[in-house]
Amino acid sequence: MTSAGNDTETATAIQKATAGSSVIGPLNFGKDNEGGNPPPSRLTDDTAVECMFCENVYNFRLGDSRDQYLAHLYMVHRLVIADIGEVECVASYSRFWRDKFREHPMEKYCSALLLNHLPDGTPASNEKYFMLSDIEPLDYELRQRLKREMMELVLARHQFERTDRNFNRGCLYCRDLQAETRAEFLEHLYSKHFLLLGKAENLVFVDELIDAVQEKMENLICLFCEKVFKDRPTLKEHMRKKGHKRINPDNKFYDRFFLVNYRNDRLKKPAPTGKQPVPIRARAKESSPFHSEDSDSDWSDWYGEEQPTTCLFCTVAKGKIDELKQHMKVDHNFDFDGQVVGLTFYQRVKIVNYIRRQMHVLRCVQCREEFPSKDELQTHLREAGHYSTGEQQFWDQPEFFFPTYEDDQFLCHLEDDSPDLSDDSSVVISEKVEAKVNPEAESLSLENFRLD
Amino acid sequence: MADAAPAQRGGFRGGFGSRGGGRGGRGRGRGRGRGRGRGGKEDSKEWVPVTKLGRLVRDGKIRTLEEIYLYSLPIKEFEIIDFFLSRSLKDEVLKIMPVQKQTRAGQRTRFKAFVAIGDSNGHIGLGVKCSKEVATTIRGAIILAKLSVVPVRRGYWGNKIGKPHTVPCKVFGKCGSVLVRLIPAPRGTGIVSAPVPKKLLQMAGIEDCYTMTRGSTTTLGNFAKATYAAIAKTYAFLTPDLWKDLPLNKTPYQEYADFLEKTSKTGQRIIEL
Repeated sequence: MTSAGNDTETATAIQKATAGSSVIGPLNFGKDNEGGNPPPSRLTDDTAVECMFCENVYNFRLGDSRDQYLAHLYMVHRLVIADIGEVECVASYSRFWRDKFREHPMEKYCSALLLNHLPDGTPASNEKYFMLSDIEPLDYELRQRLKREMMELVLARHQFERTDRNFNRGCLYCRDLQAETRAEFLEHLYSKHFLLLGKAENLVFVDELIDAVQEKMENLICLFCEKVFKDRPTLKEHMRKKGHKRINPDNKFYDRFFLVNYRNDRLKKPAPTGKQPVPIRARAKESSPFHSEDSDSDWSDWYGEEQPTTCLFCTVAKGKIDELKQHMKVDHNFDFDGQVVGLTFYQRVKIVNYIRRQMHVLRCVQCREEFPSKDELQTHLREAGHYSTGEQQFWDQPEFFFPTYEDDQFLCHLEDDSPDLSDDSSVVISEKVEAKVNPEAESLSLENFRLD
Repeated sequence: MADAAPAQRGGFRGGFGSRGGGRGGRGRGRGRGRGRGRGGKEDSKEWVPVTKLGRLVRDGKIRTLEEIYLYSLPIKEFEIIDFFLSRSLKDEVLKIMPVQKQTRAGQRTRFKAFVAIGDSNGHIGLGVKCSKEVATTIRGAIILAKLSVVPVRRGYWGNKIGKPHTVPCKVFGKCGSVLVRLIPAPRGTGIVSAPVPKKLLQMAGIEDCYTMTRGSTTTLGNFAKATYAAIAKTYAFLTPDLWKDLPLNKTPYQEYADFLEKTSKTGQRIIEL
């Protein structure tokens, strides 16, 4: 494949080029964000939440610290937060308003109330209190934003917990199981020990849930009714006899572990109380795989981020390939489309990979002079105007079939002048087809065949 | 259910009271009474096919999934796919997102899941489902993905050594404004594309491929569907090595040439008149 000409000079130059290029490890444009940390389980750090007005700091992870903070806000600063149950993350909420109250006085955002008693209950007259509610547009937007972010966080975490195989936790009761996934763990707890925490597909933050359950067991507290017992066998006997080997649906502490509670539906009509099981025929149609409402099979509402494409010669990156080509024309006087007219798709691939490689090893594409640093190479390219594809003998090598950068988006936008004509430089052989004639299948397929 | 346990306990205590705290005995007793009753719901029930194709498959009259594709038979039961591929199929949830609908009664949130399924060896499917609960959504999307499984034809670059690794020819697929073109690549190239099509191509069993994309690739749903359409096209192209498998019969014109001669003369006469 090497176009070794009669000219020995060119031959040695080519040899030097290919010999000098040692195997380079995989190069990437983007940072490697996969396989790093598992998704977080909190929107923000809630171990050190500062009061909106003073220097008090609260650790929401400890006991009822959150309620203490809210009580403090009322008692000391006379502030009430309306619909606190609707605020998804009190820590983020508090931080937001803390910053805002630095800039402007709180009266700007809070409504004022006049009540006839002091915070501790003693009667007084016309004491001023403040209420922070979603009448204030910023507050409304904040609450909506927190709901959205929390929903995304929960879904991401649920997705992770669904597929993660590095769970590795021993069973709470027996020494038999070392579960790989959370689903396995919960299934084992149910099938072997009859402890029903819920189905893995409906739960999130499973690690914390199991920690909480474990803590209750170790402190000899019943999971359901929260009574304390004198030793482990008594506790186990109680939980078994009373059917308390499950989570109390009225206990709000466990609400955050169930996905269904994050739906944020604001329905005025109360949901039908499912006292009796709904017969199959009367059940909502949407649980069948064939029922599809208009939004069901709509593929177009899933939006992602644009993958930026990096310039061949500098670090400028653009979302759209046309903008990038425009940048190269303007800033580097390099018209990519003009340079590749008449070349096949595979030749264009090689050109891109060749230029990327030369830029990486700090060699000029045109004159092949090497430089000790990126800046010097850039200076040379600019001054000598050597932004080009280089000579064909150098880029038309089989090694440049392979992408220099693993995630090089430039390679995904190479137009082909004649996409339908076959490319002589590539010979692709298809694999053998395995299907054999089957008379039964054939008669079944001909059953509905009509020559209309 | 809770009553069954104490009764047994009374009975067993006499016999097995000293056995390791009786946990083993009691546990087993309970398991017999309760566990299987509840666990039975989860066990895979015997598949009763409701379509003719399903019956043929279950009775073993169809040897491979490829025979179903050859005769373009519509697959309406996902158990058919499971019958042939359950051991090698892997599903991946590409995205779960909340969708909200404003109704008279307020706001209603549902979850929508996009699922891709493939065995990394010649089969790929895509499904999307919307439902009130995450679990139902994922399950429904997996079923739809199984129903959409198509075969993938692969090829060799240059020489027929080892396993096929790239697409057999340039194919393209379109969905919405997104156009995806798949181009054969030499062994070792890997998949040169954005993350979403890369995932699909890997699950289909394609190891090396270039891609060319046009259109608003931020609509990842259309991007995925266009890639799937392109992959499905690999079997639509008739390549020379398939020609020898098709029997060449006489065309109807050849077979009935004499008859046509007679009728055409008649036709001419009518015109002349």
